[in-house]
Amino acid sequence: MYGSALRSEEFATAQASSDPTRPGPGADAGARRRQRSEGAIVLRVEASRGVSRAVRVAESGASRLRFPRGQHGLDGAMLNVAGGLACGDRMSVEAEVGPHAALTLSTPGAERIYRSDGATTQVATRLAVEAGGALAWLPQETILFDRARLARRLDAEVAPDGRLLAWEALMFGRAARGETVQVGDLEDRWRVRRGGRLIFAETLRLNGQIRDLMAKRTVAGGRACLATLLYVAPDAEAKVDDVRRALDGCDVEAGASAWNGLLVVRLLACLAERLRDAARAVLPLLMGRPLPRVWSC
Amino acid sequence: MSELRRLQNEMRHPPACPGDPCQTTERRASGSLDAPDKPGHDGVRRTDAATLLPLLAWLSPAFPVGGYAYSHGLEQAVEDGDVMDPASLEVWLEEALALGLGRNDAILLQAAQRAVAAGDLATLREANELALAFAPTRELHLETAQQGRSFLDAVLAAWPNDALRTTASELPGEVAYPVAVGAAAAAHGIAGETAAAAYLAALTQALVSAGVRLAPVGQTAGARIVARLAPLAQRLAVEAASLTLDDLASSTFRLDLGSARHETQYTRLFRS
Repeated sequence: MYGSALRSEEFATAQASSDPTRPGPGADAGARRRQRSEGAIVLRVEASRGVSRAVRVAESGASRLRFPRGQHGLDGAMLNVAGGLACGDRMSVEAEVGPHAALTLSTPGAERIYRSDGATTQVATRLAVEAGGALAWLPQETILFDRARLARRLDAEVAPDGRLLAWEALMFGRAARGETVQVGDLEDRWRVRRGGRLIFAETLRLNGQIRDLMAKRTVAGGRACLATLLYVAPDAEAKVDDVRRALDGCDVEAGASAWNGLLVVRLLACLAERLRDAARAVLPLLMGRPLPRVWSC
Repeated sequence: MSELRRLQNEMRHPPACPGDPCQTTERRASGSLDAPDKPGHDGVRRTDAATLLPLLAWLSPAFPVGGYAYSHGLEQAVEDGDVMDPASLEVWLEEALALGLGRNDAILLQAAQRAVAAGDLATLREANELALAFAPTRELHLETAQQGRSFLDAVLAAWPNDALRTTASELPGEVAYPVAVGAAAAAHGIAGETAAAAYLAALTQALVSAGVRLAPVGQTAGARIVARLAPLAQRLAVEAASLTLDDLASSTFRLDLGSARHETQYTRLFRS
């Protein structure tokens, strides 16, 4: 286990954010969100004699970064102590992995994007992997509530022999609680460069009547949870068969494709737990190590 | 309700983000290159033959591009039971055009056309890089890159001019299909919007033809779908005229997912 302070913090976060409109303990958190929470993490990791260490860490606003003790390398756990995001909140992460260093970044729980009364929540991630470095970006899922408005972008620059593994899952409403997202606005923009050249670009846009859109067979076929895995590495194409075999045993609809030194997997499921199962089956194959501890809680 | 509609409209056309490297600042080129549609003496808007004839040749199934080999994931949709009759084929095509491929190709084609018409070859290369990076799977990358290269080579061989030779020398490797068509249109003085409408109509025709081969859909039912989707092709081309590379976006997540699954489909008629 990593620090108990982190555990209790996460617990408090989850409690306060379970319903932003509910009076009582949640009202405090709701009022705080009206002030437009901001948060940023900036870090750089470098390797010295085979051991990766954070040489620069800056946290601001509601963002925190912890390094729980791990046996498999440097694992960073990112936290948003504001308890979810709404309206014009802005969060950003900038992570650089120096030559031959390795870093895994994840979150101890799901991020929540609450209903917006107008402004769009902005989440920006900028990742850089230098020569021979390896970065795994593995946050747990983002839950969108009805009328959420989220604009998210992930920009990555990977050295030709660097390795980037990115996993992002989105859940439209918590199905287990009977919640659905009827209306909302999502724009999820990925831009990945290798050696300065753009090799992967995607802008997933779901806006307006999200429920009707997700019901379409070309969009999500009625599933409420989707995930994208991107792996950029010299061995990306060689891994596609292993990844497909691992996905065969999972209760998700998934398609894996590899070309030009990148591997992309898209997944759909009715429950976020099924996506997590698939992540646990596939991600370690590409990391060459187990998932960080926060994933097994 | 009107507030919601305003918001949705805003979502569809978000304000451009300053300093974004993906954004083209180049707007529609002015001048004769871009304005061949003019009302005739009888008041009817017409596209002159100098525009129409090259487009008919280039976008014909007989032009050596190999479009008959691609289904853009339709073969997988038939395999999965998503497309099984004329009605479901029409819905699938409408979504593929309006929510992903069609809209994006119309934007890319016109961005490339504007860049070439303005002599801005850096923006042309940027549009091509972005178009190729937007291909969501191995097979859809092949679909656009193979057809784009074949198209540009065939136009260079059969319809050469100086403008086209200069443009093609900027695109020596892989070329995305809509970028190649937009570049060739500009080099021949054809308006981007007209070329995009023709391109989308030809794309619809090609996918309907694939649908007729894959699913229980008759020739006449297929022809009706092409006719019914023609106004959509035109609307997407018109809308894309005022959009930039920054507006590229897609909702067809499951279509892309299916395209990846097509790679391992046991028997395949199509390369995508």
